[in-house]
Parts: sequence; C-alpha cells; structure tokens
Amino acid sequence: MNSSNRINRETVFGVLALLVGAGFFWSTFDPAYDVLGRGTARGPMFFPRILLVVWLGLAGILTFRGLTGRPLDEGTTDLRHLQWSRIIATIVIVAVGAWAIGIVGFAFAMMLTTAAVSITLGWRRPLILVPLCVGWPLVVWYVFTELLRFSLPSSPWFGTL
Amino acid sequence: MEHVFPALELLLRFDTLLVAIAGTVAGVLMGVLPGVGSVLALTVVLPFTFSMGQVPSVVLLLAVYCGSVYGGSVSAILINTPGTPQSAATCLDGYPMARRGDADLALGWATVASVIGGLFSIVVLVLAAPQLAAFALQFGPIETFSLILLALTCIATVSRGSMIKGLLAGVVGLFLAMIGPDIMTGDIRFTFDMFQLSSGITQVPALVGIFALSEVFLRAGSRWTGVDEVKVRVGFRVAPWSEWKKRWKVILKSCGFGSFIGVLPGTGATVASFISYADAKRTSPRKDKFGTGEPDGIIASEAANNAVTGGALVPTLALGIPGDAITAVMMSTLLIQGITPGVRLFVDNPDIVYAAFLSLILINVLIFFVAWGGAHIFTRLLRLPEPLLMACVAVLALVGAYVVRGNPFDLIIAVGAGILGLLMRLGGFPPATLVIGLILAPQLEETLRQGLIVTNGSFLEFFASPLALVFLMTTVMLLAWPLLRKKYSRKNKTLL
Repeated sequence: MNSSNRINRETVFGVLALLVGAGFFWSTFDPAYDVLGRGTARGPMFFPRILLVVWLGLAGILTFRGLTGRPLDEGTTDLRHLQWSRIIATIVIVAVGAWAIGIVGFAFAMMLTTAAVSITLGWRRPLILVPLCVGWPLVVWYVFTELLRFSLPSSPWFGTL
Repeated sequence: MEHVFPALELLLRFDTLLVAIAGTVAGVLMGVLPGVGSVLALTVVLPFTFSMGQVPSVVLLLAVYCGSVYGGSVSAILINTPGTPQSAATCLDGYPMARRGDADLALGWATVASVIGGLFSIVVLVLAAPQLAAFALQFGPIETFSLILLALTCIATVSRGSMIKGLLAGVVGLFLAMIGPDIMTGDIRFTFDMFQLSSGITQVPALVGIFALSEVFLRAGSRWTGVDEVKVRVGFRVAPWSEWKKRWKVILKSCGFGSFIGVLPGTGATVASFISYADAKRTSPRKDKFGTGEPDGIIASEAANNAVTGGALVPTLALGIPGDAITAVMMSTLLIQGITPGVRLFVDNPDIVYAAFLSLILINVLIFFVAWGGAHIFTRLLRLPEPLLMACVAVLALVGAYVVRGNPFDLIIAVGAGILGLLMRLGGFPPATLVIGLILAPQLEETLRQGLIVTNGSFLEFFASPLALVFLMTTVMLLAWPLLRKKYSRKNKTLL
C-alpha cells in the first residue's frame, strides 16, 4: 500500500470524526437541553461535553497526522483487494433479513438470509445449502423459543413458527 | 473446619449433584449462545429454584453463573462473537488462534485458565470474604470513578496499533452510551426525536454487531477460493506443562485482578478481563504477539473473568450488597429461599455458606469436563466452509441482538453497529475499545457526578482520597508512557 493511500485514509477518517464530533458538540447547545436537569449540580450535558472535547482533540491529532504524512499505524486492511460489491450486498441482505423478521417471522426470514449470504459469499452447492438454510434457522428457533422460552417473531402462517 | 463436613454432606446428595451437573451444562450452553448472557441465563433457570431446597437452588444458580461466564469464551474463540460481554477480551487472541487452525488448543487454554481463575477466587472467597468486603466498603464514587478511568485508559494498551485511534474509539464508545436517558436525572439525550432511541443503545446488540456482523461483512469482501485455507483441528487440547509453567505470572496476576475487581461493587467481569488483558499485554515477555493468537491474551482474559465469580459473591454474601445485576438476581433467589445475605449470614447459615463454597469447586471441575466433552461438537462448527459459517454467524448474531429485549429496533442497532465495526476495522480502529467504552460509560458518568456532588464540584479533591490518588496517578502514567518511552529511546540512540 502506498503512503498517499494511507494518508488519504487517515485524513478521511480524521475529518469524518471531526465533523461528526463537531455536530454532536453543537447539538449539546440545543435550547431543549437548557431546561433539562435543572436543580442538579451538573446537568445531563456536562459529561457528554467533556467526552466531545476529548473526541475533537483526538480527531484533530488524527487529521493532522494524516495531512502531514505521518501514519499512526501499519496494520490497516488493504482496501484495494476488497470486493466492495459483495460487502454492500451482504450488508443489504442482513439488513433486509432483520427487517423481514417482523413480517415473515424469525425462522423464515433467517432461512432466506442464510441462503442469500451463503450464495453471495460464494457457496453454490444446493445439496448442502438447502438443508443448512432450512435446518439451522429451525434449530436456532427451537432452542430459543421451545427450550429457553424466549419469544421470537412468528410467521402469519404456522402458529409460533 | 467444623462447618465443612456438614456442608459436604449437604452437597454430596444425589439431587444436589444432579443439579450441579445440569446447571453447569445449561450455563455453558447459554453462555455459548450470543445474547443470552449470565443475567438472562440466571433468569431463565430462576423458576426452577422455587421447587428446590436451599442448597440445590444455590448450587443451580452458581453452576449456571460460572458455566455461562466460561461459555462466553467458546463463541468468542470460534466465531469472534463473545457469548457474554465478559468474554469480549477473549476474542482478541482466541479468535486469531482459532483462525490459524488451533481452535482445539485455544479452547484448552481458555478452559484451563477459566478453571484456575474460578478455583483461585474460591480460595479468596473462603479466606478473605469478611476482610475484603470491609475493604470494598471504602470504595465510594470517587474511588470507583478513578478505577474505571484507569480501566478505560488501559484501552490505549489494549489497542493494537495506534494509541490515538484506540482512545478515539473508546471515547466514541463512551459517547454512544450517552444516547438515551441521563443516568441521574432521567432526561433524554441525543435521540434527535427518534423515539426508539429514548431507552438508549443496548449493549448486546451493539456488541454482536461490532464483533460478529462486522466480521461477516469484512469476510464477504475477501475472495473465497472454494477451499478454506486453514484446516481446523477438532476437539480439545491442553498445552504441555512447559507452556503453562512459563506463563504462571500471567495466570497469577489475572486471578488477582479478577478476584480483587470482583469484590468491588459494580465493576464486574468485563472490567476485570480488559484490565487483566491490558496488563498482560504491557508486561508479558510475549507482548509483541498479542492480537495474533497469543495464549497469554486468552489466559489473561479468561482467568480474570472467571476469578470474578468468587470475588463478586464476597459483598453479596458477606454484606448483603449485590455488586451487579448478576449477583442481584442471585441475592433475590436467596431471599426467596429464606436466606438473608449479610453480616449475619456466616453466623446464621454457616452450613449453606460452606456448601456454596464447596459447590464452586465442584462446578469448576465440572466446567472442565463439560468443555472437554463439548469441544468436539463446538469445534466442528469451524469446519463448515466459510460462506456457510458466516451465514450461520449472521443468524446467531441477529437472534442474540433480538432476544435481549424482544425489540425489533435492536436488530437495526446490531446492523448499524456491524457497519460501524466494519468501518473501524478498515480504518485501523480497534473495535474492542469502543465496546469497553460503551460498557463502562454509565458507571463512569454516574460516579463522576456523584463524586462532584460529594466534593462540592471540586475535581481536585478527588486526589485527597489515597486510593483514588493511586488510580489517577497510574492513569496519568499510562497515558504519558508512550511519549516518555519515545523520548527515552531517542535519548539512548543519541548517546550511542
């Protein structure tokens, strides 16, 4: 990995942290918080402001190191060899799977998620894929609902399943 | 000794032994499952105690408690998902060891370290319960704040790579815990009109997202060639005696950290394991290998978090003060059973107290055999091809995130935390430090504000407490150490 790539990454993360931290710090002066915690020695914004000052200071150092070309560490992942399309697809699949839990129930949503994640990550053999995609969510569902008595969202079709 | 034999008689009954075995197995299994954790595990078995006698119910709770603390390490090692927050530090070296094919050895290190930690804490509990309980009473908000600040500063040494990035990740974790109700006034903060955030960010969904889902996302980005590069050894393997012998200092110190921190109200196994890990990383002769699958890292975390189990019972049993949610659940069960913890407990119910102590020894031995037997099943999970394993991990992570509160919003938190964890890994920020911050923040804020009330708003008066002074000075030295070390090495180079 060349140094300019590293500097860019350090700077990007530093600037991002600065912007987010500054946004949060600015929000602590929202008039809505003025009325909160009245009567206590230290209000609810006392501690968050201390944290955000430290946050901004550290983000400032990070940005400065990035801009001046002095990287802070050597162990970051090489971004050039990552397959971004697969990362984004997996994030979308997991997010949709999580959303679908409330609609088709835990077991069915997870069957689809297991299949989609496996295929996206490169597994194509149906003889193993199908039993795993059906069996694993059912085992997890059974352990949590029947043995541990947790309530997981059910489908509109099969009672508690 | 006069109480030991009657206590043994109570313990060695068939029903009590059966309860100990069943409780240990159940505790380990529930610890393995992400999201269940010790508190939920205890809550699940709580109704079973209603139909039991005093000793079996105490034994059941202790077995589930100790078993679940150990069980968390299994999933931390095998799938980088700590089954319980106490095992988060175990991921740092246990998972890399499993990834290079030595999952059986990693489980062996974790199990033996856990058992040693557990047994050590029993010795502490038996020998020093009243004295330690009295010492723990000296910890007011100022001392507790200073100790937690020290624990957080250890972030810098836990971090692999840059200390600045480690500290920034820790501060972000602390800040994320500020979302939701103010711990002292109840005022809602940083929700930006999102009602779902008004109860704050739950720890477990954030934790499984940051560790497990981010791993799934990151591995999705690397090309899978159709053959897994590493052949995982199935089973359970204990390292040779020579390996253990050269690590006795790490073991002893970790047990000490765990037992001492366990005694302090409100700190617990997570703090103990991270402080112990940080100390081992700073002082171990093999410190350069930390984060790559170094056994010292696994020992430090596991011996400490299991040593907490005995320590945490000290204030609960000797003073009637539960130090955390786990001991609070246990104490409520004791009260239901007609046992009142406190200074009179050792006088009024000595047989039960000693039966509890002896059962802890039995339970720790049982943990070894449950781990040995279960390892063959657990490690087979890693033989699954990577795409299938990652799909299974995603399912476990989502169910772990959901079951804590049964709130669908926690699934969003888990996925969001997964994306944040991915970004942190890509940027070289250590995710573990964010988790430490998230876990310790409420207590840090509460004790700081309580301390300022005690001192009429003067932070300088915090230094008047000798204990706090020691902790704060150590914190300052830890922060200044990298700068001093750099300056010292430069000076040495100039002299040469």
